[in-house]
Amino acid sequence: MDIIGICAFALTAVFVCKSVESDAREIKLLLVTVAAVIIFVKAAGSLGSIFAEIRSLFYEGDADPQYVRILLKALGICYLTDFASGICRDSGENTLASQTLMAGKTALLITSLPMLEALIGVIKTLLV
Amino acid sequence: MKNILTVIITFLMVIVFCPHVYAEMNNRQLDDLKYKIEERISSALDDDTESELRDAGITPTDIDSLTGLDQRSFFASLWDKFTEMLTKPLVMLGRILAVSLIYSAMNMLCTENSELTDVFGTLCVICVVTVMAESLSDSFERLQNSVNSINTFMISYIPIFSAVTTAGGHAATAGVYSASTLLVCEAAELISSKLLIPLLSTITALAVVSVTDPKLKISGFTDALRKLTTWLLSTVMLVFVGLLTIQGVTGKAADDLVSRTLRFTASSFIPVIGSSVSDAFLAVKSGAGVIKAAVGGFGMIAVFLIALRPFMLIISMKLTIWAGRIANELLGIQRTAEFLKNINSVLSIGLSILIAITAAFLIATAALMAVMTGGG
Repeated sequence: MDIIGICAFALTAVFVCKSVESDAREIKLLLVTVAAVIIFVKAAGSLGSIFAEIRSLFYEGDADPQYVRILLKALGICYLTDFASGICRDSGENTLASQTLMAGKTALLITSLPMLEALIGVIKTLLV
Repeated sequence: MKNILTVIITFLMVIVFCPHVYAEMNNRQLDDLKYKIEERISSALDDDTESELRDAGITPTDIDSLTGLDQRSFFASLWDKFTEMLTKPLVMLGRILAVSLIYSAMNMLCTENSELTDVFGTLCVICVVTVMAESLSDSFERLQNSVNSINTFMISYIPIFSAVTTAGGHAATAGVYSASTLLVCEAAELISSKLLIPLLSTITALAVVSVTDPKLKISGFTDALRKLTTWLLSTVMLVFVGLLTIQGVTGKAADDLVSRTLRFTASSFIPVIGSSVSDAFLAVKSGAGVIKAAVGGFGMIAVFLIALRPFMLIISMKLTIWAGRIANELLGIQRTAEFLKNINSVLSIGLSILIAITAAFLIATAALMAVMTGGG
């Protein structure tokens, strides 16, 4: 990961935002969003190797790959929700931010349903 | 003259051949007895233990197979088995660490929303539970099977060992052994069928439920239950060993009295061959003593080996859970660490029950053998 390049890019984005006139709030918001997306895309390349390591740890033996897939999907949902609600809050739309958060939680629950079923199965096995 | 010669030849033949025939018969009876003991004891063993004992060359009636046991190779084979058993728990640890790393990534990526982190944390702990479920239920099952196997073996073994002990002139001590070990068998049967799995499963289920609600903390409860089980088992063992020793010592005194009386009566009241009969009684006692030592040692090794497999499995599980807990505490994932702590306590309870049952049989047999070989 080119951390120096990312830091330089972030600082440049901040300077550009500051240099934009104070009444052009929309442009500033757009600039911040684009800069954040670019930084994430850059960082995501390195995240791939970490997730590959996690996958290899999990797939050892005869593990059900469904669990790690669910967790990684949930991680993505959490990140996207956090990112979107953060942008909404930065732009002063708190209601929109909280709704995005709620939608994220719902998506998280739907994704994790197979895991909850597995948990209930475990408890049943233990108690029967 | 012819008659005199016939009488002399007959007399000589009786002198020459009778002891041989008698000795041959005696040896055949002893071999027969050894064969029957081996057959009965081997049929009571489970397949794994039987093959392990066969591999080590240990037989129920051969004392040399016990005294000639190479400790170095025995420990080497134990280590091999332990490393083999460690594989599955290590895979489980890898998965726990993978989940913990994903949770850490989540904490790192989403710094603003604690609600999202909480929900994701719950999901991670549920994943840890599902990852551990198979290994845990396997451990519980093996624990129960082991207690059952010990019970099945001891129910067949106790009458044989008591009979050999009685044949060696320790009838009262054999009675004490039978009564006390059968009591342990009944207790083991009760624990195995009614207490062990329900208790461990209920605590595990409580631990699983508590991970979904961080407000519900049961670590204090599991810790208290673990301590209570340990104290209870220690107290019961203390009383059991105390009673067994007292009864064994008094039984030994009674047996010695009977033995001395028999020898005195034989040497005093049987004319001419009285002292020979008394010596023969001593010789028979010594012979039976050798078989008794071999059967006793074999029983102890068999019980030890039956208990060793679940013991090693649970120890390897505890080691990996301990490592997982440390890793989670380092990463700051308290909920998973708390869950692993509770599961560790559950395994400790199971382990103490297994150790108590095994130790009761081992101590009973060892105490009886020690008391009987203490003179007389």
